[in-house]
Amino acid sequence: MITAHTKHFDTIVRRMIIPCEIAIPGEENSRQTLSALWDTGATSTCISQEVAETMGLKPEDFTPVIGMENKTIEAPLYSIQISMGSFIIPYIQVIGLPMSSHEHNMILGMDVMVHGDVSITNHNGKTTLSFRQPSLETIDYSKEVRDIKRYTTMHMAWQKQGNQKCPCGSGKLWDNCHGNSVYLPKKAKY
Amino acid sequence: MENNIKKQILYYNEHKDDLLKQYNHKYIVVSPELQVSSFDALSEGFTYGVENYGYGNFLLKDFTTPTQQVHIISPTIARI
Ligand SMILES: [Zn+2]
Repeated sequence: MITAHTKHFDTIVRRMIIPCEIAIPGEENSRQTLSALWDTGATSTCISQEVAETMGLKPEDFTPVIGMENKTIEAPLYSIQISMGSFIIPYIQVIGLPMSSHEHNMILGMDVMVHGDVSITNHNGKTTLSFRQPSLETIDYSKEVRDIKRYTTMHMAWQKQGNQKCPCGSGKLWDNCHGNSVYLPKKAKY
Repeated sequence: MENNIKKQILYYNEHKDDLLKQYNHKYIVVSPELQVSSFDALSEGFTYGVENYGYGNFLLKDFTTPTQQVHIISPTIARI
């Protein structure tokens, strides 16, 4: 099953903090909504130790965590369920850490992001964070740029030759061949 | 911090190399009586642990990811 969630911010943001529900697996009453910072610099997802204690989470392991200033601490691990909209990870081990930020009490790390595809776009002055699972395709902006250049060159050649055939030599009509591309604006076909 | 798995952690630290060799790419649950069970998924290990030993009374170790021991948390840098 494909699931996805999108957060539209009102402006360009440099920190993406979104609501994230967590719970002890199988215990609906423990459900809480945290403010989660998306952080590609974190290998693992963390929750505030204060929240963990309030929720009654109990450690099932401990792990060394290297944080700021290269300080290493032994931090507890908890199995929880994570959900953001329809995007759900039913079981994941997260780290309990002291957090001093007033803006977030959870850090979403790469261990969550690798469950699927994540995109950050900043079109029209607004940041949009969108993610889905499982991964469906490779997004490659460099390839897009190459394709756009190729189609633009083809379009110029078609305009120059002055007939309905596609200049690629396929023998097809322009509209049914390279002219039928998402990279060309509709009006460019005529 | 209070926890009920001190005994299990001690046991794990003493038998780390053997456990890792035997249960590589698995999740293991270590019971209060120091019995070891292995699982392919976190969900299976967690459910087994809760049902058999009670929440908070078992060690649940992840041997599926080789880099599991180190986590880098990046600092939040704010310009004032
Ligand atoms: Zn063509």
